[in-house]
Amino acid sequence: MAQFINTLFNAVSLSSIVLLTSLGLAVTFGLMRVINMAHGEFVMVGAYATYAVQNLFSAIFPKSIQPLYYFVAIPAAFAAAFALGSLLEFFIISRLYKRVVDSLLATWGISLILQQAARSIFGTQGVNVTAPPFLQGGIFIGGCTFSYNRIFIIALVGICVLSVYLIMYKSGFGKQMRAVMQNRAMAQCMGINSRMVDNVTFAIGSGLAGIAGCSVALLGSVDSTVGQNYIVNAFMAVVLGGVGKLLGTVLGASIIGSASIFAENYTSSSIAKAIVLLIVIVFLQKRPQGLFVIKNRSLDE
Amino acid sequence: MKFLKKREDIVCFACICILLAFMPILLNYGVLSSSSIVLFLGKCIAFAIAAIGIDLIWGYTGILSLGHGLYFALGGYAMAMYLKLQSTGGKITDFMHTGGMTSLPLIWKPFLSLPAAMLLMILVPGGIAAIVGYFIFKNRVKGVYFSIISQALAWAAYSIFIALSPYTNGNVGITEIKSVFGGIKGPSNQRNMFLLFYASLLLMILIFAFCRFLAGRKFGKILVAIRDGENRAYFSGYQVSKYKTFVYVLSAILAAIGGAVFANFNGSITPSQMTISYSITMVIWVAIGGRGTIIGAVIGAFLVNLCEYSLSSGGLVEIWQYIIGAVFCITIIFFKGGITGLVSKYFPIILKKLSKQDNINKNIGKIERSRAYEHSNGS
Amino acid sequence: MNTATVLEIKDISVSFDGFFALSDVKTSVRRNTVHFFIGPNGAGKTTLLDIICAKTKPTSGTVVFYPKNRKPMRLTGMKEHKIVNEGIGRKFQVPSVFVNLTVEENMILSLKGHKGIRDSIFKKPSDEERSHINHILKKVGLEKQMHTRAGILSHGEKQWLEIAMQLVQKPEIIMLDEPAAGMGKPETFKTGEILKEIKKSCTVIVIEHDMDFVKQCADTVTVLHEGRIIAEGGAGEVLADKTVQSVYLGRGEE
Repeated sequence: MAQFINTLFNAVSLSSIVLLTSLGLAVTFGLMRVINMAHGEFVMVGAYATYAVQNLFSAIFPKSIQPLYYFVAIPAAFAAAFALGSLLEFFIISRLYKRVVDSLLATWGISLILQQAARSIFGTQGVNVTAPPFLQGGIFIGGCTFSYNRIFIIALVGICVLSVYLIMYKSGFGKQMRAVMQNRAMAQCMGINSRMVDNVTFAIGSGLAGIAGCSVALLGSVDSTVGQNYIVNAFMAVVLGGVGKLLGTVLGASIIGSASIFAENYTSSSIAKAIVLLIVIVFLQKRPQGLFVIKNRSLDE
Repeated sequence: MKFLKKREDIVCFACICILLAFMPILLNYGVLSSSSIVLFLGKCIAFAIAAIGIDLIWGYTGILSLGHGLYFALGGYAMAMYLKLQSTGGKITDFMHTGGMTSLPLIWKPFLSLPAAMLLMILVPGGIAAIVGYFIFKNRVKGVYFSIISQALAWAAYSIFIALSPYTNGNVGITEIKSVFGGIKGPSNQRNMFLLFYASLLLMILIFAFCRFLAGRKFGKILVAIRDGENRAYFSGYQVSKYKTFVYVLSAILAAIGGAVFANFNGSITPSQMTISYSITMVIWVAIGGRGTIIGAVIGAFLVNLCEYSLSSGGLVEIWQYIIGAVFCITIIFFKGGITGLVSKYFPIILKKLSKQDNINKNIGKIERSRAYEHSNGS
Repeated sequence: MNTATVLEIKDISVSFDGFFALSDVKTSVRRNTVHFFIGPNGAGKTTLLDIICAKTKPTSGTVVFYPKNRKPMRLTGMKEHKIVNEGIGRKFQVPSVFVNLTVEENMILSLKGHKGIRDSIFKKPSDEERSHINHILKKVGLEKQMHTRAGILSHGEKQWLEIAMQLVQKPEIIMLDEPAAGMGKPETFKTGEILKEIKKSCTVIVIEHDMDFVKQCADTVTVLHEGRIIAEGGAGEVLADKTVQSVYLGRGEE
């Protein structure tokens, strides 16, 4: 029983990490249909931002309030990735809205540059972020371990999903956003500044990747390739869930995360992940449009 | 003149090949100081072969695969496994010892003989590509969805390869191998190296000729038709998925051949050739060289790698990443046709200017008109 | 069942998520006629064409094709490319020619037969096929643009090229989705004349909104409204029908 609960907790925890990294994609890819190959690098930017804030705190502030750096790091990571995303949209993506495959490649070029920049600034060696004391340790209940940082990440994901939901479906901006994504020309005719909406939407998606970087930094050392480890799962989660549906992404991430953990009971973790991906690929043959399909009458994508 | 115009790519390719053929001779007479440049050009030949495959599937058919590194590495591994067994004399390797094996595992056994290894080098990547392609294209997975799935596939294969380290030596890969013609490093082995170099060059020429033949026939037009209007192609009565699968398999096999040649020159093969980023690197060559023309793929593979080689040896590795990232980005946004696209656009204009200096006034109008025409072509 | 019927649509219904795009549509198309399907937007015209060429699966009902000198066949459930090879061509609403190929190459790709990979590598079009292409390009008036890249043709020329691409396959039925959309009066008239010319050798099914165009060349007109057939007959009688006028033309006929 205890082992089962442990596995379940690990599953939820891994799912939440996959979800956090794919949430930004659900916005940029799901809504805008832009494949941002530099998404992983935005995660990396978030992670390095956390590292930078940590160092800043230990350099300036007295020991007693140093642990609080993490609460500054989250908005800082979001802001850094948000700003980068906004720049990227302005200079590159905006020229490629009708050329989806090309935007994929162009953002890959950006990702090469960002990775090298990270190596130039922070060195090729991985850097470590120490979790603040209140996130170290965990609760032990009857043989089950619930580590604080994982609980924290799950909560963080919950907050992020909720905010994205509120922004997308409940706010005025969200309405504009969905209008622009569905019919750019029409939205412009209705007086919506679609350039601005595009830009902010993309930046929000990037900013979410920054927050993901913040939590990724807690889990292991940060180097220039940290984003690459998450990007494949993130894309698959969005595709599996059905592009364009927030709920789909949540479900897709949960399936990929939990399936990996359960498969790990039988084999090594890297093989487990590979097998899960292969299963998802096979599944997508049955339903190429993912779990949730938005039916419409325009038959051509 | 008309003869030349239709075959300018062949002329260009011939120039490249002649230049390459002279390299070993130059080395022999001491004009080139070190053999490393020839070795490197040999690797470029391997890259060019793989790039031709990428060009067929992406440039012609419009299917962007982000997982061709998998096929490149599979070809490389098949070659390297054979070569490794040659150097151990058919006995089990060190890493198998470390992995706890006492006898040669079954999947290594066929690689004791060269013909079997060569066959598997083609069949394994081709077979995997056929299965994957058949299902994916039959189910009409296309565009970016295909790209995402292909990268997931490469990633999954990569993790499995690393996890099976007793068989594959994990992260390290298969190292310390000689070429099919024996050792190629050092002055005493120069003859072997030349042999390998010219054999690879010949292979590249054959592959170029074959693919250009394909592209020139109706087959090539159908690929372009599929790229530009898949539905229209279906309703013209073509079984699009069959064509796509065929091209996918063909390009996978070309990538595998490239990988095998690469393993010969490189003296090792590692799983890093299997990664997504390596796969996209191959796409970068084609993009910069010029997609949709076979010669563009060859030019791109040589040019990008030579630039990287000369910059890296000058200690400018860091800058290289920035340059290639930026150049790639700019090429994609502004110059869809890459280098060949630029040349075919502006070269005729320059040529006209040069040949008819006396008639400048008359020509300017013409040039402008042809520019306008090209412009409308490009958009 | 008279021998002149070339296509029979039997009780076709389609629903998209409970919304019936077509319900119990039944009609038949006679050989060597120009058969129009008209109706307001959303009447299900395009869906009907999609069903005939198997792009959409009907929820219920069948479509039967009666080819010349061959056995009748059920089209529902067949693959698109097979249907094309059986002799049913389709032109889409948006002109879709292969923009990076020349007019001639576009035509060569559309030739009947030789659709396999091996043929596409080793076969070249025969002289007979080439003269057939020339003949058809003359018919639609594109013979001068033979070596032009299709991407730089005008909108009307693209439409005609696409019709020519259908014709070169020697189809028994050719389906056109709004061939006159986006054309001016003279081009529309020319399109109508082209249709009259080609119905001599095959059957033409057209979706159109332009009533002058319908009057110019229709033999039979079927009016669809909200997924049902509300009238059928010759152009004159259908357009005079009260119900038709109220649902469709009533909103201000020209």
